[in-house]
Amino acid sequence: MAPKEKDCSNKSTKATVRTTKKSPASPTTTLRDLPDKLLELILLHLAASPLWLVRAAATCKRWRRIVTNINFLCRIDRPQHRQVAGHYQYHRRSPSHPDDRSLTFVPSSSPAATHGVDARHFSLEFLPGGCSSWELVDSSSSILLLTKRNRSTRLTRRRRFFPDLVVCEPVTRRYQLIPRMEDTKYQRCLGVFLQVYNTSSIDMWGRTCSSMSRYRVICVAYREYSGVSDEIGTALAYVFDPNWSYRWNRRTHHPSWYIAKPRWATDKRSIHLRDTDSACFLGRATGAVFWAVRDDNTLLVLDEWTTEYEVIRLPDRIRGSSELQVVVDGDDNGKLRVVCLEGDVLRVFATWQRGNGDWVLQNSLRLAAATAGIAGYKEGCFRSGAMRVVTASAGCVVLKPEEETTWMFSVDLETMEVARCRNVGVAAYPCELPWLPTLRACVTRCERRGQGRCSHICICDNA
Amino acid sequence: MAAATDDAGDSNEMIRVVSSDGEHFEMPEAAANLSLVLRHMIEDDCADAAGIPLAVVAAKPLAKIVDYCTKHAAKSSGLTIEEAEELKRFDAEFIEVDTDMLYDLLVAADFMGVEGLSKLAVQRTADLIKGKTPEQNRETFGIVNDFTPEEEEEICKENEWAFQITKPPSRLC
Repeated sequence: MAPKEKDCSNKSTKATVRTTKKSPASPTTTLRDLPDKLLELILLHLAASPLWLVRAAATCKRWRRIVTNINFLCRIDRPQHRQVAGHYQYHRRSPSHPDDRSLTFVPSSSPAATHGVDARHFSLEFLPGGCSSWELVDSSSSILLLTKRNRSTRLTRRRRFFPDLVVCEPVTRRYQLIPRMEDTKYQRCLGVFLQVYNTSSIDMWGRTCSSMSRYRVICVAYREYSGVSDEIGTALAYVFDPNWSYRWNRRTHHPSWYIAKPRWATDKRSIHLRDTDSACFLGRATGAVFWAVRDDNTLLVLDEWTTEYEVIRLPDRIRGSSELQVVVDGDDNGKLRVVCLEGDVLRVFATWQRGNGDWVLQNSLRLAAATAGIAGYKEGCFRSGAMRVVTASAGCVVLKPEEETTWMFSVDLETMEVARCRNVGVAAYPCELPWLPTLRACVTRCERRGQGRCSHICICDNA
Repeated sequence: MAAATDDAGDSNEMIRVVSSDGEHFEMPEAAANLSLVLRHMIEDDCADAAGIPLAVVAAKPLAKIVDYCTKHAAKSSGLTIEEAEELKRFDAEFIEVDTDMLYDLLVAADFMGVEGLSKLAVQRTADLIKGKTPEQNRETFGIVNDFTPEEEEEICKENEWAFQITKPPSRLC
């Protein structure tokens, strides 16, 4: 960086004119004359985008001092509507090998969301072993959760052993390997989920916490009962929270897994599962994860925040053999819908109170007749009768006949309107820019490993 | 909005203010009331014929502020949609000034306690910063880069994604 001149006074003729006119009574105002209070107000407007904030903090020492000040950070409101910078998507390389997939990052189409941040910053090659040895399973805010891909055995995946995990933030290239608990190594896993706290970026000790420390991972595992002859077990939620040990026991600095203990008072009817395959993952909506338990005709629901289970009885009219899908409408107290496919009949059941409300048959549709009019319909499509749910979103499901690979259609659950749809079926994981971005007050390497005066902002010890 | 003149016949009382470099300005009382400082002076009966001296506000920004207050005071209550829009347009045009004037307005509006103008100028300054690289910001605002090259490198490393935008440059920062 070339040395800079002392001030802007020689930049334009206008500035020189002003200096000649300058009298002691009316000095020219420059940015340096603005009180910190005003500059802070100005810079607060930049908090809408992490990119603007990072760049403002790189302008000069004074701006950096203001932006990294704890009072400034406390005054920032977390933006209500975060814009997704792009989606990670899996694309199949060949139709015959469903496991042969490549992960790509597709930047958001609106330039306002990414502000021109280059897509290559979302590359995952920085992970140990490279991108190809991990499989993306979840994303939230700016961080991703990946499981170790076990190349050697597909059997391992089928058995779904407790996986090796990594949590990472692509743009800042930070990652944290999550160790397995030794005694859970051979437990089978029903699902792994990532949660990001939406709380303030300032913790109770007045330190900023980066986005990489505001998450927790929930792993739902199947544990066999000991001493019972049949393969009967229960589901347990293991939680990994990097802050947990900090909170309750500050002597142990190693974050570790802990079992989310069910509330025994309410959990008298505990969950019994016949093998892992009896619990089929249905979906995740409004802070809860849903599994269908085939043998019992029930839904197993895990509340993500309280990590408590709930068992919901499904209507008796749903038979165990049918394909199920849970669709939850957008709002928190929205109704819960279950889509049930039996042959070519689609039925929609709804309940308003999760757990204790009655199920109401909302709609029923014969798919063969309803889809006859849409493009691509073939006579034989429904002959075998089996239908699959491709994807479900609020108020809508996408279906396809089992043998078909390309022909899909969506059903609106309110109006039961059927329409052909294309380009669905790729799992997409949204990713945002980090909030708050990590900004250190001292930019020279901190000698005191985060213990000095910059400790509230310094990230030396996890850099 | 020139220097003071005798305007005795007007029923609306005119308030006189004096800039730091001795220029006199006049505005209706309603306009002066938009400024917290002037309002308190008027309430305390300090507004006399000699005018209220504003020691830190020069003539140029003061002329703008008087302009702003007069416009906003005339349309303060019971705005129709068109009037509100016109006022918005006025604001947008009003704040299209160079950075020197912007600083003057920021400081003067803050000193005089003209809330609307203060917000307007803050927003305008923030808009100038948005979407710019640090180098562009320094240029716009005439800021001296006081980071050492080592520090700058460290800053770039800290949030690399924010500094490499379109085409990958040969250097990291």
